[in-house]
Amino acid sequence: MVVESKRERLIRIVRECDSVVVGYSGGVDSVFLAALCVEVLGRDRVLAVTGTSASLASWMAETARDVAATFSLPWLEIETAEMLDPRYAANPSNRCYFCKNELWSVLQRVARERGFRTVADGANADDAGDHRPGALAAAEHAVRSPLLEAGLTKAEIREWSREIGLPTWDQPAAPCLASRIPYGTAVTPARLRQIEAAEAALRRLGLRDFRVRHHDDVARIEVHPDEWFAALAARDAAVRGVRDAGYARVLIDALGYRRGALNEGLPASQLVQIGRA
Amino acid sequence: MAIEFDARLAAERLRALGYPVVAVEALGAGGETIGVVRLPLDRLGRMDAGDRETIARVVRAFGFRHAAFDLDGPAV
Repeated sequence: MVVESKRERLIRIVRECDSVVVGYSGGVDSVFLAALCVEVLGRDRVLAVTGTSASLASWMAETARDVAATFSLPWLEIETAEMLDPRYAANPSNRCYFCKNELWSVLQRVARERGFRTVADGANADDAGDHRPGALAAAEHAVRSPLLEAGLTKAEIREWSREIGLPTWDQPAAPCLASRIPYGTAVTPARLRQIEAAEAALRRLGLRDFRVRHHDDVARIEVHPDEWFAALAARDAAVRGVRDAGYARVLIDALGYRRGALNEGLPASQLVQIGRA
Repeated sequence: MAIEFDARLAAERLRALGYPVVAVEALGAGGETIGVVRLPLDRLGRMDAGDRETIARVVRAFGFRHAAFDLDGPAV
Protein backbone atom coordinates (compact mmCIF):
# COMPACT_ATOMS: atom_id res chain seq x y z
CA MET A 1 0.00 0.00 0.00
CA VAL A 2 1.36 3.41 -0.94
CA VAL A 3 1.00 5.97 1.85
CA GLU A 4 0.19 9.41 0.60
CA SER A 5 2.38 12.14 2.10
CA LYS A 6 0.86 15.39 3.35
CA ARG A 7 2.32 17.21 0.38
CA GLU A 8 0.87 14.73 -2.08
CA ARG A 9 -2.46 14.94 -0.29
CA LEU A 10 -2.47 18.73 -0.49
CA ILE A 11 -1.72 18.69 -4.21
CA ARG A 12 -4.52 16.18 -4.75
CA ILE A 13 -6.96 18.36 -2.79
CA VAL A 14 -5.97 21.45 -4.75
CA ARG A 15 -6.54 19.53 -8.01
CA GLU A 16 -9.99 18.55 -6.73
CA CYS A 17 -10.78 22.24 -6.26
CA ASP A 18 -10.47 22.57 -10.05
CA SER A 19 -10.58 26.35 -10.10
CA VAL A 20 -10.31 28.39 -6.95
CA VAL A 21 -10.83 31.77 -5.35
CA VAL A 22 -8.44 32.00 -2.41
CA GLY A 23 -9.18 34.23 0.57
CA TYR A 24 -5.84 36.01 0.56
CA SER A 25 -4.91 38.21 3.52
CA GLY A 26 -1.17 38.48 2.88
CA GLY A 27 -0.41 36.13 5.77
CA VAL A 28 1.82 33.05 5.70
CA ASP A 29 -0.94 30.53 5.04
CA SER A 30 -3.03 32.25 2.40
CA VAL A 31 0.03 33.42 0.45
CA PHE A 32 1.34 29.87 0.42
CA LEU A 33 -2.02 28.42 -0.61
CA ALA A 34 -2.47 30.92 -3.45
CA ALA A 35 1.05 30.30 -4.74
CA LEU A 36 0.59 26.54 -4.59
CA CYS A 37 -2.78 26.73 -6.35
CA VAL A 38 -1.17 28.68 -9.20
CA GLU A 39 1.61 26.09 -9.40
CA VAL A 40 -0.83 23.15 -9.48
CA LEU A 41 -3.80 24.58 -11.39
CA GLY A 42 -2.27 27.32 -13.50
CA ARG A 43 -2.76 31.07 -13.41
CA ASP A 44 -6.08 31.14 -15.24
CA ARG A 45 -7.75 28.89 -12.66
CA VAL A 46 -6.81 30.85 -9.55
CA LEU A 47 -7.86 34.21 -8.17
CA ALA A 48 -6.43 35.51 -4.90
CA VAL A 49 -8.85 37.95 -3.29
CA THR A 50 -7.99 40.31 -0.44
CA GLY A 51 -10.94 41.63 1.51
CA THR A 52 -9.92 45.05 2.77
CA SER A 53 -11.37 47.02 5.64
CA ALA A 54 -10.11 49.01 8.61
CA SER A 55 -9.40 45.76 10.44
CA LEU A 56 -6.70 44.69 7.95
CA ALA A 57 -3.36 46.30 8.82
CA SER A 58 -1.91 48.36 5.96
CA TRP A 59 1.35 46.41 6.03
CA MET A 60 -0.60 43.18 5.50
CA ALA A 61 -2.44 44.66 2.53
CA GLU A 62 0.92 45.82 1.13
CA THR A 63 2.41 42.35 1.60
CA ALA A 64 -0.57 40.85 -0.21
CA ARG A 65 -0.12 43.30 -3.08
CA ASP A 66 3.68 42.91 -3.28
CA VAL A 67 3.68 39.11 -3.21
CA ALA A 68 0.92 38.98 -5.81
CA ALA A 69 2.96 41.26 -8.07
CA THR A 70 6.26 39.43 -7.50
CA PHE A 71 4.80 35.99 -8.15
CA SER A 72 2.32 37.12 -10.82
CA LEU A 73 -0.62 35.83 -8.80
CA PRO A 74 -3.98 36.84 -10.27
CA TRP A 75 -5.17 39.17 -7.53
CA LEU A 76 -8.19 41.24 -6.66
CA GLU A 77 -8.80 43.65 -3.78
CA ILE A 78 -12.39 44.06 -2.58
CA GLU A 79 -13.65 46.23 0.21
CA THR A 80 -15.69 44.33 2.79
CA ALA A 81 -18.34 45.88 4.99
CA GLU A 82 -18.17 44.00 8.30
CA MET A 83 -17.76 47.33 10.12
CA LEU A 84 -21.32 48.19 9.12
CA ASP A 85 -22.68 45.09 10.83
CA PRO A 86 -23.65 46.06 14.41
CA ARG A 87 -23.23 42.45 15.48
CA TYR A 88 -19.57 42.66 14.45
CA ALA A 89 -19.02 46.15 15.84
CA ALA A 90 -20.37 45.15 19.26
CA ASN A 91 -17.37 42.79 19.48
CA PRO A 92 -18.88 39.66 21.03
CA SER A 93 -16.68 36.60 21.51
CA ASN A 94 -17.93 35.26 18.15
CA ARG A 95 -17.07 38.51 16.34
CA CYS A 96 -15.00 36.61 13.77
CA TYR A 97 -18.12 34.81 12.62
CA PHE A 98 -19.71 38.06 11.41
CA CYS A 99 -16.51 39.20 9.71
CA LYS A 100 -16.00 35.91 7.90
CA ASN A 101 -19.68 35.70 7.03
CA GLU A 102 -19.25 38.97 5.13
CA LEU A 103 -15.93 37.92 3.57
CA TRP A 104 -17.11 34.54 2.35
CA SER A 105 -20.38 36.00 1.03
CA VAL A 106 -18.35 38.42 -1.07
CA LEU A 107 -15.89 35.78 -2.25
CA GLN A 108 -18.61 33.28 -3.14
CA ARG A 109 -20.25 35.99 -5.23
CA VAL A 110 -16.94 36.68 -6.99
CA ALA A 111 -16.49 32.96 -7.61
CA ARG A 112 -19.98 32.62 -9.09
CA GLU A 113 -19.66 35.68 -11.29
CA ARG A 114 -16.26 34.64 -12.65
CA GLY A 115 -16.90 30.93 -12.99
CA PHE A 116 -14.63 29.58 -10.26
CA ARG A 117 -15.74 26.31 -8.74
CA THR A 118 -14.25 26.53 -5.24
CA VAL A 119 -13.58 29.11 -2.56
CA ALA A 120 -10.73 28.21 -0.21
CA ASP A 121 -9.11 29.60 2.92
CA GLY A 122 -5.72 29.19 4.57
CA ALA A 123 -6.81 27.45 7.78
CA ASN A 124 -4.23 24.87 8.82
CA ALA A 125 -3.95 21.90 11.16
CA ASP A 126 -2.71 24.05 14.05
CA ASP A 127 -5.95 26.03 13.94
CA ALA A 128 -7.92 22.98 15.07
CA GLY A 129 -8.61 23.35 18.77
CA ASP A 130 -8.40 27.17 18.77
CA HIS A 131 -11.46 29.34 19.31
CA ARG A 132 -12.45 29.85 15.64
CA PRO A 133 -15.97 31.18 15.20
CA GLY A 134 -14.95 32.23 11.68
CA ALA A 135 -14.68 28.54 10.78
CA LEU A 136 -18.42 28.22 11.28
CA ALA A 137 -19.01 30.91 8.66
CA ALA A 138 -16.57 29.16 6.33
CA ALA A 139 -18.50 25.92 6.71
CA GLU A 140 -21.82 27.67 6.06
CA HIS A 141 -20.42 29.15 2.86
CA ALA A 142 -18.91 25.84 1.71
CA VAL A 143 -15.38 27.19 1.89
CA ARG A 144 -12.69 24.53 1.65
CA SER A 145 -9.54 24.50 3.76
CA PRO A 146 -6.97 22.53 1.74
CA LEU A 147 -4.10 23.02 4.20
CA LEU A 148 -6.23 21.83 7.10
CA GLU A 149 -7.69 18.95 5.07
CA ALA A 150 -4.17 17.80 4.19
CA GLY A 151 -3.09 18.07 7.84
CA LEU A 152 -0.36 20.66 7.24
CA THR A 153 0.87 22.46 10.34
CA LYS A 154 2.09 26.05 10.43
CA ALA A 155 5.70 24.87 10.71
CA GLU A 156 5.30 22.68 7.63
CA ILE A 157 3.73 25.55 5.70
CA ARG A 158 6.63 27.83 6.67
CA GLU A 159 9.13 25.18 5.57
CA TRP A 160 7.46 24.64 2.20
CA SER A 161 7.07 28.42 1.73
CA ARG A 162 10.80 28.84 2.29
CA GLU A 163 11.59 26.11 -0.21
CA ILE A 164 9.59 27.83 -2.94
CA GLY A 165 10.98 31.25 -2.13
CA LEU A 166 7.97 32.97 -0.61
CA PRO A 167 9.05 36.02 1.44
CA THR A 168 6.30 35.31 3.96
CA TRP A 169 7.87 32.06 5.17
CA ASP A 170 9.06 33.59 8.47
CA GLN A 171 6.45 36.32 8.80
CA PRO A 172 4.88 36.39 12.26
CA ALA A 173 1.23 35.37 12.50
CA ALA A 174 -0.91 38.46 12.00
CA PRO A 175 -4.60 38.22 12.81
CA CYS A 176 -6.82 41.23 12.17
CA LEU A 177 -6.48 44.41 14.21
CA ALA A 178 -9.86 43.89 15.89
CA SER A 179 -8.29 41.02 17.83
CA ARG A 180 -6.43 43.63 19.93
CA ILE A 181 -9.69 44.93 21.41
CA PRO A 182 -11.17 43.06 24.39
CA TYR A 183 -14.49 41.38 23.73
CA GLY A 184 -17.35 43.67 24.64
CA THR A 185 -15.50 46.87 23.71
CA ALA A 186 -16.87 48.16 20.42
CA VAL A 187 -14.72 47.84 17.30
CA THR A 188 -14.55 51.23 15.60
CA PRO A 189 -12.43 52.49 12.69
CA ALA A 190 -10.85 55.09 15.01
CA ARG A 191 -9.73 52.42 17.50
CA LEU A 192 -8.36 50.23 14.73
CA ARG A 193 -6.40 53.17 13.29
CA GLN A 194 -5.01 53.94 16.74
CA ILE A 195 -3.88 50.34 17.25
CA GLU A 196 -2.34 50.23 13.79
CA ALA A 197 -0.42 53.48 14.41
CA ALA A 198 0.96 52.18 17.71
CA GLU A 199 2.00 48.86 16.18
CA ALA A 200 3.59 50.60 13.21
CA ALA A 201 5.70 52.67 15.62
CA LEU A 202 6.91 49.53 17.39
CA ARG A 203 7.58 47.78 14.11
CA ARG A 204 9.79 50.69 13.05
CA LEU A 205 11.87 50.00 16.18
CA GLY A 206 12.60 46.50 14.91
CA LEU A 207 10.07 44.52 16.94
CA ARG A 208 8.36 41.80 14.91
CA ASP A 209 6.21 39.54 17.05
CA PHE A 210 3.98 41.56 19.33
CA ARG A 211 0.48 42.94 19.84
CA VAL A 212 -0.77 46.26 21.18
CA ARG A 213 -3.81 45.42 23.30
CA HIS A 214 -6.27 48.26 23.49
CA HIS A 215 -7.79 49.18 26.88
CA ASP A 216 -9.35 52.62 26.27
CA ASP A 217 -6.46 55.06 26.77
CA VAL A 218 -4.10 52.33 27.99
CA ALA A 219 -1.94 50.32 25.60
CA ARG A 220 -0.76 46.97 26.93
CA ILE A 221 2.03 45.66 24.76
CA GLU A 222 2.49 41.92 24.53
CA VAL A 223 5.90 41.08 23.07
CA HIS A 224 7.17 37.62 22.23
CA PRO A 225 9.48 36.48 25.05
CA ASP A 226 12.41 36.50 22.58
CA GLU A 227 11.87 40.24 22.05
CA TRP A 228 11.47 41.24 25.71
CA PHE A 229 14.94 42.73 26.11
CA ALA A 230 14.79 44.45 22.70
CA ALA A 231 11.51 46.06 23.74
CA LEU A 232 12.99 47.29 27.03
CA ALA A 233 16.09 48.57 25.25
CA ALA A 234 13.83 50.63 22.99
CA ARG A 235 11.64 51.72 25.91
CA ASP A 236 11.78 55.50 25.45
CA ALA A 237 11.12 55.41 21.73
CA ALA A 238 8.42 52.77 22.18
CA VAL A 239 6.60 54.87 24.75
CA ARG A 240 6.88 57.94 22.52
CA GLY A 241 5.55 56.07 19.50
CA VAL A 242 2.63 54.53 21.33
CA ARG A 243 1.75 57.81 23.02
CA ASP A 244 1.85 59.56 19.65
CA ALA A 245 -0.80 57.08 18.53
CA GLY A 246 -3.09 58.51 21.21
CA TYR A 247 -2.56 56.33 24.27
CA ALA A 248 -2.13 58.01 27.65
CA ARG A 249 -0.36 55.11 29.26
CA VAL A 250 1.93 52.34 28.01
CA LEU A 251 2.28 48.98 29.76
CA ILE A 252 4.25 45.89 28.87
CA ASP A 253 2.55 42.58 29.64
CA ALA A 254 4.34 40.25 32.05
CA LEU A 255 3.53 37.07 30.15
CA GLY A 256 4.09 38.58 26.74
CA TYR A 257 2.61 37.55 23.44
CA ARG A 258 1.14 34.09 23.26
CA ARG A 259 -1.31 32.67 20.79
CA GLY A 260 -4.95 32.82 21.85
CA ALA A 261 -4.40 35.22 24.77
CA LEU A 262 -7.58 37.11 23.88
CA ASN A 263 -9.62 33.96 24.41
CA GLU A 264 -8.15 32.98 27.77
CA GLY A 265 -10.93 32.90 30.29
CA LEU A 266 -13.74 32.48 27.77
CA PRO A 267 -16.27 29.98 29.12
CA ALA A 268 -16.35 26.66 27.27
CA SER A 269 -19.90 27.40 26.14
CA GLN A 270 -18.59 30.31 24.04
CA LEU A 271 -15.73 28.43 22.38
CA VAL A 272 -16.17 27.53 18.72
CA GLN A 273 -13.57 25.09 17.49
CA ILE A 274 -12.89 23.59 14.09
CA GLY A 275 -14.53 20.19 13.91
CA ARG A 276 -16.71 20.97 16.92
CA ALA A 277 -18.76 23.85 15.52
CA MET B 1 -12.27 49.03 46.92
CA ALA B 2 -11.76 45.28 46.84
CA ILE B 3 -9.58 45.43 43.76
CA GLU B 4 -7.17 47.83 45.48
CA PHE B 5 -7.03 45.57 48.51
CA ASP B 6 -6.18 42.66 46.20
CA ALA B 7 -3.43 44.78 44.64
CA ARG B 8 -1.89 45.43 48.05
CA LEU B 9 -2.00 41.71 48.87
CA ALA B 10 -0.38 40.87 45.52
CA ALA B 11 2.42 43.37 46.22
CA GLU B 12 3.02 41.86 49.66
CA ARG B 13 3.14 38.37 48.20
CA LEU B 14 5.63 39.42 45.52
CA ARG B 15 7.84 41.12 48.09
CA ALA B 16 7.72 37.94 50.18
CA LEU B 17 8.99 36.07 47.13
CA GLY B 18 11.96 38.44 46.98
CA TYR B 19 10.91 40.84 44.24
CA PRO B 20 11.63 44.52 45.02
CA VAL B 21 8.09 45.57 44.22
CA VAL B 22 7.24 49.17 45.06
CA ALA B 23 3.52 48.61 44.56
CA VAL B 24 0.91 46.84 42.49
CA GLU B 25 -1.57 49.26 41.01
CA ALA B 26 -5.10 48.11 40.27
CA LEU B 27 -6.17 49.38 36.89
CA GLY B 28 -9.60 48.89 35.38
CA ALA B 29 -9.33 49.68 31.71
CA GLY B 30 -11.49 48.75 28.77
CA GLY B 31 -13.62 46.37 30.81
CA GLU B 32 -10.67 44.34 32.06
CA THR B 33 -8.52 44.50 35.17
CA ILE B 34 -4.77 44.88 35.02
CA GLY B 35 -2.41 44.55 37.95
CA VAL B 36 0.39 46.97 37.15
CA VAL B 37 3.56 45.95 38.96
CA ARG B 38 5.87 48.80 39.81
CA LEU B 39 9.49 47.95 40.50
CA PRO B 40 12.87 49.54 39.76
CA LEU B 41 13.64 49.78 36.07
CA ASP B 42 17.05 48.12 36.40
CA ARG B 43 15.37 45.09 37.99
CA LEU B 44 12.79 44.99 35.20
CA GLY B 45 15.61 44.98 32.66
CA ARG B 46 17.23 41.94 34.29
CA MET B 47 14.05 39.93 34.67
CA ASP B 48 14.06 36.58 32.88
CA ALA B 49 11.04 34.72 31.55
CA GLY B 50 10.75 32.65 34.73
CA ASP B 51 10.54 35.77 36.90
CA ARG B 52 7.93 37.30 34.64
CA GLU B 53 5.82 34.16 34.69
CA THR B 54 6.01 33.99 38.49
CA ILE B 55 4.93 37.61 38.82
CA ALA B 56 2.09 37.10 36.34
CA ARG B 57 0.91 34.00 38.16
CA VAL B 58 0.82 35.80 41.50
CA VAL B 59 -0.95 38.89 40.17
CA ARG B 60 -3.52 36.84 38.29
CA ALA B 61 -4.09 34.65 41.35
CA PHE B 62 -5.35 37.77 43.09
CA GLY B 63 -8.03 38.13 40.45
CA PHE B 64 -6.46 40.41 37.86
CA ARG B 65 -7.05 39.47 34.24
CA HIS B 66 -3.60 40.72 33.22
CA ALA B 67 -0.28 41.45 34.87
CA ALA B 68 1.87 44.18 33.37
CA PHE B 69 4.69 46.60 34.03
CA ASP B 70 4.54 50.33 33.48
CA LEU B 71 6.84 51.37 30.64
CA ASP B 72 6.47 55.08 31.24
CA GLY B 73 5.73 55.52 34.93
CA PRO B 74 7.84 58.04 36.85
CA ALA B 75 9.68 55.48 39.00
CA VAL B 76 8.57 52.39 37.11
